[in-house]
Amino acid sequence: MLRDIKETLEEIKFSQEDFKYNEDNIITEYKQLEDEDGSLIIKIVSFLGGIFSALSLIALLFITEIIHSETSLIVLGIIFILTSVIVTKYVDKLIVETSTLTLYITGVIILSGGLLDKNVVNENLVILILFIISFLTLIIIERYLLSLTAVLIFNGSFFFWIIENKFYSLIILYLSINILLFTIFSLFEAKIITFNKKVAKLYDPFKVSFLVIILFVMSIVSEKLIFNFKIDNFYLSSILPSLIILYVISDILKLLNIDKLKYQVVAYLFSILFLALLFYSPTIIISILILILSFLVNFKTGFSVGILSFLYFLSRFYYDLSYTLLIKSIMLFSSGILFILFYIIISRKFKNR
Amino acid sequence: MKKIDREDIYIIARNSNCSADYIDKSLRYNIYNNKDDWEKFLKILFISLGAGFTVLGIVFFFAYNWQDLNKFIKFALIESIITLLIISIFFSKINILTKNIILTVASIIVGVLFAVFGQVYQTGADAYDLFLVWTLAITIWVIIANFPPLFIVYGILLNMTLTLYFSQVANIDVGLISLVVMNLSFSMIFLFLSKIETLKYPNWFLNLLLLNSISWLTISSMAFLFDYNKIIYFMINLFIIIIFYPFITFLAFKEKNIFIIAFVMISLITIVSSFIIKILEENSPFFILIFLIGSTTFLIKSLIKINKGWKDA
Repeated sequence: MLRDIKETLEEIKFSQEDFKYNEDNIITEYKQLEDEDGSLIIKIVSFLGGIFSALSLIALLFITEIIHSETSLIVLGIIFILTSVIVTKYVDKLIVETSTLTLYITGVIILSGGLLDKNVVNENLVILILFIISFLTLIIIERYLLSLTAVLIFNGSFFFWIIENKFYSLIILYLSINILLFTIFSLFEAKIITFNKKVAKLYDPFKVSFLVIILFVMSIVSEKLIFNFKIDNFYLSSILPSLIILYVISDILKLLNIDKLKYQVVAYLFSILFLALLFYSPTIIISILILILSFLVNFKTGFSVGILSFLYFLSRFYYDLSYTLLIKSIMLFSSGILFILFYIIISRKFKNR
Repeated sequence: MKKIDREDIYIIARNSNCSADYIDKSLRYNIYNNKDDWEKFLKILFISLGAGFTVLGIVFFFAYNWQDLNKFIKFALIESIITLLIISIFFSKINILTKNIILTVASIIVGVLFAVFGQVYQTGADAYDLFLVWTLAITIWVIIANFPPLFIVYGILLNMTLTLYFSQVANIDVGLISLVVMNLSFSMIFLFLSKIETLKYPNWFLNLLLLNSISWLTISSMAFLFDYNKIIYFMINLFIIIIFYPFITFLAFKEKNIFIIAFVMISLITIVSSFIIKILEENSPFFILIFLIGSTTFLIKSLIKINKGWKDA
């Protein structure tokens, strides 16, 4: 609330000599916040509305034969994308967001379809064009949903380039980069949002996009959805999240004031053992990382997603045919005993305090 | 430092030259989880993971050795596990949450016991029999524990029982209506029980039950709509919607629950869209497009207005 932050602004003045703020902009942002309400359910409704409307619009364009050639697909696609970006830029209101989102998604789909159909450009060039369009969109507009869509296209184009060129082993690198970026965005939130206003506005869409891409890639690889390919050594994806979990544990131990060396050693030993036991199931380790990072920074969406993905990939573990039931039972049983021991230790430690 | 929320901090960061250090301190003080939150979280996390992983490890071990084990050893092992778990609930000094988690694990292993029974004696029973006896066997535990996750397990078992019964034995259309009524009743019972002070259930649990009921109503409406022979079932569904939706919308307004209001509206938009497709067929895309954009925009405006009204109040 505006009156609450006035006190905070006064507090900052005392601690930072050169502190300056733009009161008019702050008042404008609060007015917009009161008028628009950025709650999660409203974002979900807008996003779903945009997607389904886009599908209806595409169906309409084909049925009415407005689209009758590849050229009309390309021209209409460009018009829709431009209209969407221009309207969003100059009519910065939630009320038009569903419509502009519809136009943008429709524009991207029919433009890609037209370019691919015409065989003017090959698939790699189409991916590059979409990458450039999404990048330019991000530079121009700042509305959450359109930014999120553009970020997903921007980030996703790397994935589709990998798939198109069959560089499947690069997926491990791509996944690791997204995991690293999600971690950076979670742990260095303050540094990122104070970098500049544009970056601050794009912080949320980027963070959500990393989460979506991580889940998407994990689902594609483990469920063989949509694309049916095999990645050798996918377990190597466990390396980075495992290292990050160990790094984050140091933050958690500091937060819990666990400064005695023996407890720290026990915590690290347990963690290393647990991560080693689940090393060949990177999806479970990544889900745990999402859970821990999201809880650390109180990112509720990420936390819910972390729990659900963890439970899901754990249940899928049973169907992994690479390992015998005996090996799986040893891994799970050992991890379970470790967790129970850890629970007993921390219960005693917290009780003694 | 006065407590403010994340959006406030973002607004300050975007519109001032506030240092990253202060923003970081502000986030840690106002937003990030503190020591107490972590202690609670870690305890729940480790006992849940410990219980779950250990049980799964045991289950997988038996699955590996299963063919070679004598049938009495199979029963003895599973029954011993259930007995040990129940004894630990009665005769240990662990906290109530841990006991409830152990009871949930025991409830799941009861199902394993019945599955093994069916496998060993080749009872040839329809699959719904297994879920029916499993559901009945754990009913008293579920009532006594009064533990929302266990209620969810119970709800899943009820759904499995009904689904398998109607797909294997009886009429699938009657089955769909029965599932709608059963899930609705399940959520209504807990909504009413939640009014009792000592039985107040968490919001996530009530929201999940209502979302489940609304989903079933939506799916069944769409399923019946696209089949001429099932118009009577569609009318029954419509009747249930006319009674149920205004009632839970009224409750949602009373409890200031924006999620339920949104779910109900999304469901209605979906059903009306399906109706438009059904009536207009090839001519529907234009009207669907107008309807979707119009209804979504109206829904967003309404949700914002309602939320604002609650905040101002």
